[in-house]
Amino acid sequence: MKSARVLVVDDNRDLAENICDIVSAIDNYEVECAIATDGEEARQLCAKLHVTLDVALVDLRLPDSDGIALIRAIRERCSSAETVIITGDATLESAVAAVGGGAFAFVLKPFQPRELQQTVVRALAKVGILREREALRVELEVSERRHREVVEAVPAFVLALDVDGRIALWNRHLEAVTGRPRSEMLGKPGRELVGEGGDRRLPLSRGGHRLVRWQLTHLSDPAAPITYALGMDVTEERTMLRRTLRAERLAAVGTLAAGMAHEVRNPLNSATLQLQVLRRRIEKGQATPDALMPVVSIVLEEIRRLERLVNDFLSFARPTPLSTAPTQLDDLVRAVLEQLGPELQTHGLSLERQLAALGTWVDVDAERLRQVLINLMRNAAEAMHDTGRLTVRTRSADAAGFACIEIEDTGPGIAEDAPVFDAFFTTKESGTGLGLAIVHRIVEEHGGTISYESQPGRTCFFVRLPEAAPTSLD
Amino acid sequence: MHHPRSKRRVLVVDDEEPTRNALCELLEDEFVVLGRADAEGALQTLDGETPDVVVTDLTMPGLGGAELVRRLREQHPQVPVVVMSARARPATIPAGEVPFFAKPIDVTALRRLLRRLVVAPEIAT
Repeated sequence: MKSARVLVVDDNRDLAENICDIVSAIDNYEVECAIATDGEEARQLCAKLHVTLDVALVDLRLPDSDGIALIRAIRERCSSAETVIITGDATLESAVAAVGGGAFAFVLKPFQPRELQQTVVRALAKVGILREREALRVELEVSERRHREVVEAVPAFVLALDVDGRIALWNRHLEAVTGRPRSEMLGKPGRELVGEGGDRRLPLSRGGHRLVRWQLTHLSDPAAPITYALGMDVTEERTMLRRTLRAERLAAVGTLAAGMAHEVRNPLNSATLQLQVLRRRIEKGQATPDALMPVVSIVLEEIRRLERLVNDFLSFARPTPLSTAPTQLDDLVRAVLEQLGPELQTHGLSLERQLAALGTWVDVDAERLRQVLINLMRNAAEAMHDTGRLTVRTRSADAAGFACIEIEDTGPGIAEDAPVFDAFFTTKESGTGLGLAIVHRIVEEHGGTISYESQPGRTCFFVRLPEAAPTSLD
Repeated sequence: MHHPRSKRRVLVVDDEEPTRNALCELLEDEFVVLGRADAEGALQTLDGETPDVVVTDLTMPGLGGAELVRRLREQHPQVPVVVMSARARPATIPAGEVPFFAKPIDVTALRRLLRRLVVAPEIAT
């Protein structure tokens, strides 16, 4: 059973009650019926029933009011109700006009009870559908309001662009941060603000900007394609990063300067002392070549050490830009081996080559890569005190696209955790501690990596270089 | 102003031979100078004959200069130590207690300090 509220308006109370009886007998409905015998009473009841009224049955011929006006009043007060006019021949024209003006239907007197019932059932059905639709509309509105509130309240930038790239949504966070109200921004071109996503500057109305990381979502609804952009403020993050980098750079410069000072002071100390020895021997009349020459040699050697240090330091601290060209990896290694081989082999050192990267090209600055290989090979030879086996291998590109040069020695190995790639780290008497630092830098500048494995009797350095793209080979 | 008869004994510890020899030669007019290449050698010498003062480098293979200073102050507290280094004074070498010479060494200043260090105890007794 469905429930229904019906208002019967008729100046004839008997007739009104009769109508009530007929309506109450409708199948499947539990009808609650109210009666008004004049316009004023009808208005009062309407005000009371408000949206709970389903159907009003109105006799147009009322003593105190024009029926049409009454129908309008009912619609105003009871927005969800439908009105059925009950009329005689005399007022038929008014009834037709009333239907044109929004009444649901009219029933001509005299009528069959069944005829009236059917009309009321149809009116009730329509009211039901309208009520349902209204409920859905309200539900949708609530849901949309909630979503809108989320978009508005979230402390992130939310922006939408229509198919022409014009701003269709500008949330509260955007208003607050940019100082530009939505009324000013809606409809403006907005593609420039978000680009294709990523970090973009968001200009502020008071000048300056924030750095915003945008993420775009394209909704390709054919009716209304739209792009949503979600942005996070990364200004502080970026500033922190820059500050950290600067601090790190300053710390690195400090470490480098301290290392450099140490490396300069040792030869300087030695040369100064030797010159004082020289002066003393001359003063004492011991100025024979035998007494002076060894001292002079030491001073010269210390000055050469200083010169070497300055050269190494410059190539480490102020590298010249790479001038790369496609080069066959094996050719490059072979050239270095030819240059360095005789020097290395004069000592008790055997040199072995296993070049297996035929047809592998790399984009390198040949001069600087030669420096890498020479430094690594000299290091290896010195580590073995010029006795042992030095093996140089090449391998063609692995799955990740990196070709490899391996330089292996049979020396005593590298102490665990030794910071071999740090500037000024050295275990050699006359080393500047910059050789491997330079190697590391050059390899990284080529987009490559350098690493090593070490144990007593076998140390191997791996220089990995990206294989040249085929297009760069012509 | 000095007593050539009773020359004071200075122990110089530095792993770089030319530097060590030069220091020895530049100090030998006033002192009897012994040169050692590392902390281990210096400690052995100290067990035999105690010098009047020790001058040591810090960065050396083996025990190293800082450890030598620590042991000297523990085992031979009466022997003054002078430290020289190409690096800044490390925290392990307390300022005010152990004189510190940055390389390159000012030999004149070192000589003056050594004179004071070896004469002062004599005045005190």
